Amino acid sequence: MFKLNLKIIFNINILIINRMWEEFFDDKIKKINTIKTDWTINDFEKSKFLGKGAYGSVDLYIEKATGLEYAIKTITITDKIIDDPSIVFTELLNQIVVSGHPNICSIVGTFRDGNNLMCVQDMCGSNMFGIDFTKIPTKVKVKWMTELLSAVAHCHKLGI
Amino acid sequence: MGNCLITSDGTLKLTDFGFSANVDNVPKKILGTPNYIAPEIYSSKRVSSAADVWACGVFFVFMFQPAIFLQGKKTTLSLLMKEVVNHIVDIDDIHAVPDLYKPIVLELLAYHRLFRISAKDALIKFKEAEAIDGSVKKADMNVALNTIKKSVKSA
Repeated sequence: MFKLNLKIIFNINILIINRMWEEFFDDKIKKINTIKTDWTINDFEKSKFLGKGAYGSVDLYIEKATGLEYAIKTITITDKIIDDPSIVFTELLNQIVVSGHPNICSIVGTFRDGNNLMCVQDMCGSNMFGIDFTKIPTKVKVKWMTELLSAVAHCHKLGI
Repeated sequence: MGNCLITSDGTLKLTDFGFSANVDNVPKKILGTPNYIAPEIYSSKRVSSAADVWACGVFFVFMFQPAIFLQGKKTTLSLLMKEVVNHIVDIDDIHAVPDLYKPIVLELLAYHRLFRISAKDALIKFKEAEAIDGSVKKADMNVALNTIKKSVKSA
């Protein structure tokens, strides 16, 4: 009896995830022409771990066909996300909307791998933790600041 | 800081969106980088575009003086929140920033969100100041890129 119950709960979860995926993926993402949606996990080879975010990890992958490097974020769909999908999907949609600006790390594509949502991003480089800023010339700091403000102004213009 | 990436040619790129608008995440961020949270978020949890401008201002100051105005004073979360809410940034707090940029930084870090400059206007002012100061030379950029390479290796 217990086993049967577990099975039912598990199936319902899968159904919810499938429904959520259809709602999000087919209704919203597939309408955006700039995003590639027909990738699968087999098109990529995992290279190394890059970092950990609030809802999943980011790894460096290499596309087998082209040899290009991509940073792919893996978001595992958990109960928390099923309860409130907007916490992940709003962020993703926001980033897709502002993609294309030279100072914003853009999303190239997204696909589903089992219960994981995979976001393919441009490989942007290293983050700024641990940099010795005393050795960086002032003019470079100002250049970075204008680039940051330009990205932020772009987001604000688009209401994000 | 974690949201800014530097590419191999020295361009800054912004990443990781949406969490700033999530009020649930605020306490976590207070622990990590207290100064990046604008005072109005501590006092009223009001998130707006002005809070992003505040974070940009702190980012700029951080590049010149890693110990920003409140670091090292934090004891408990509630005390820290009180300190940020009661603190109005003045010219002594940003002593390491070059004089040319001090007035703009003060506008970015204006205490009340309604008096804070918009990102667009700040960008224009920064570009004007940059024009006076002269733009980046290749040698400067190479120095910066080498510094980044070293820090990546040591990490």
